[in-house]
Amino acid sequence: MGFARETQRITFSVLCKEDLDAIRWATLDILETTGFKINSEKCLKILEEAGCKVDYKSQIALIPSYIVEEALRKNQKNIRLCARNPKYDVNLDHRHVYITTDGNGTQTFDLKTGEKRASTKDDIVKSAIISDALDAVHIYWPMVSAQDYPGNIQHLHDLEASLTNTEKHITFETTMSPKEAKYQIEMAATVVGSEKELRRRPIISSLHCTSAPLQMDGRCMEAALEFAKAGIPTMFFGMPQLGATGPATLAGSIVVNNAEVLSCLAITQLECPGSPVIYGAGIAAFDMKAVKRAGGGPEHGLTSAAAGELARYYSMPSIVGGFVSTAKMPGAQASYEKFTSGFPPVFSGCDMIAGIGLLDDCTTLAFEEILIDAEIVKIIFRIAQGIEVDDDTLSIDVIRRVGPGGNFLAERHTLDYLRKEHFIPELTDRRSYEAWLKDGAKDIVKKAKERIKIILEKHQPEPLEKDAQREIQEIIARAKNDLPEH
Amino acid sequence: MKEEILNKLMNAVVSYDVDGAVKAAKESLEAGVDPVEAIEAGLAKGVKIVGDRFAAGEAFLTELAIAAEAMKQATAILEPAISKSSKVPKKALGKVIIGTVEGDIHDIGKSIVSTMLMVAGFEVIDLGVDVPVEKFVEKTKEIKPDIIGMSALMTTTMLKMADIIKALEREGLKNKVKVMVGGAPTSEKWAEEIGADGYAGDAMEAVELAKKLTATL
Repeated sequence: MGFARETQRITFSVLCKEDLDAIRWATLDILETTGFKINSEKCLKILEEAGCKVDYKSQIALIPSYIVEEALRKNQKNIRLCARNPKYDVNLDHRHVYITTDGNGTQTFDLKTGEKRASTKDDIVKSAIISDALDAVHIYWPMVSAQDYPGNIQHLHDLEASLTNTEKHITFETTMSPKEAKYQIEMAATVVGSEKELRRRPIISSLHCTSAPLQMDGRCMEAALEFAKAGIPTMFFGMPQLGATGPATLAGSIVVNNAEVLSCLAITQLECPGSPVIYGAGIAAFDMKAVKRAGGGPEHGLTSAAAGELARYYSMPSIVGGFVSTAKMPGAQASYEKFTSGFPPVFSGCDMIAGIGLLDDCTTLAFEEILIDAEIVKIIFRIAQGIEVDDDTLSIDVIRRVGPGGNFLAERHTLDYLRKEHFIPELTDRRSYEAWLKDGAKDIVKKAKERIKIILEKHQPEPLEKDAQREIQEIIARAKNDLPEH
Repeated sequence: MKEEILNKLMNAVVSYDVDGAVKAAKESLEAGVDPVEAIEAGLAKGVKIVGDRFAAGEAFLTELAIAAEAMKQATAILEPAISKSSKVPKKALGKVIIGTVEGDIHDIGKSIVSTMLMVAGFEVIDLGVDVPVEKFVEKTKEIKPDIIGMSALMTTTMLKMADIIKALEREGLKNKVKVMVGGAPTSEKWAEEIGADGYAGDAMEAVELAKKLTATL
């Protein structure tokens, strides 16, 4: 599962050792002298008790470097994101690159009407089934929210739809309270049998976004600690925007992101030593004319690649932004931006890249885009594999046999190496003009739509056991009365 | 002499020189230039030039932000002298209170809207982030704004916008003020659904909407 880096022959790196050392030093300097802000008395106390200087009025903690270094040492190194079906287990071993779907959008292009509307639970159902069927998707992140359900249990419905419709690992990014986290843990534990089994085989993980510059929402952090307590892997994901919420320089915003992630790592390791924590980054430029985030820009590709290298330097696995576009529809801009922000993190060997399928800077779900992006992923994997040069691939005997003016079509060697050496497309059209015209002159968006119809008709993820399904619904019913109205 | 100082003020803003603007403001006080004139014919003129360039797609937001900052810091120097001025400051286009709703600490979008509204000539009171429903209501009663702007970045926190509007209705304030919403999960449909007066997809649209709404008041 995933792209095996041992097959990668392209060498690519964004940062050298001196760069990494400098970023590390700058980050420790900032944490020690400027600090980190978190509106949670619980978390500030955790930091103060460990030796940080805390100002409860400004809610800022100055974090000395030894606390950060200790947290890095304590972090679990062999993190595995498990799946309902063990064949989809994800080993974050720095030797594989995994692709997730993107989340958390709020709008969907309706599959039937084409209308852009607020997202629903059914969108999660459909996108989970599609993701389950695609071998280029390794982890499912609920792509949108179930806005047709009450606010306080909306994300429990997201999880239910995900657990039911994919056998792959599920990661989500919406938990903002420890209470909500408890319910999500209970739901996942129901599927695997018990909370003990869930700790052994976590089929869910939880991503928490920090708030640049140098801040974290206290409720969000306390929710993360709830997951950490249960042995669920947590991910801390910063998103400074170059020139707006982070310095205009890529290196500067990488430092800001680094400070945020390491601060959350420190809090987690102080509270639950040995927790599995994953390093996250989604650093993009802030477009100063459109006055919006440039998710599909080259800067994002570069910073994601760099973040992966930085995480590896810290012996942490990474999840980085990639395959993002600010295009409003599937098409030319979406495709080149997905490629731009997708290939650098793949080449750098980031453990997870989040993610495919959304448009308009991670806000809008277009089902066709999931398939188009999956194709782009495979193309990039092929490029990363590079060119294998050995006795077999040099093919001297074959060349000799075929001789000048012959052809290689009927050679056994061709058949043997075809699938290994060539990218075999699913959507990309390479036929003659006439053949393409005769077939309806379809673009890849149309072809993707046809494919989706087939997937949704034919693909059936293994359903949950009836008891588990019932229990999950009971959990949600309980939560409805217990969780505060938004 | 006055012309020279007014030009200094304007040019400092147009060349993104915050320190220069502050220096020119001090000079203008010393030279006895009327502070209201210094602001309107010097600083504000400079901001308008940069604002027009930004609207034409020629200047970057960061240039506008620095120009606004230069004006803000220079105005702070001139402010104490305004009460002694014989001139009446030009009336603001409208009064706006703006904040990110409770449960949400996302700030940048709202702050950019604040800056651009100020540049456009509105008086803006920024309540900050994580603002409870009660505070929106309390400040509305206290400040009597023309417009309330609400920002949220999550599908769950945006639900608070509906609560704020309901609270305004309960207190009999809704018909005295215009409410506009913004933030990634919000939309035109959402604004309609909760009874807001408008939705803006970005900061430029927010300014246009604010102008439209105050024209109807």
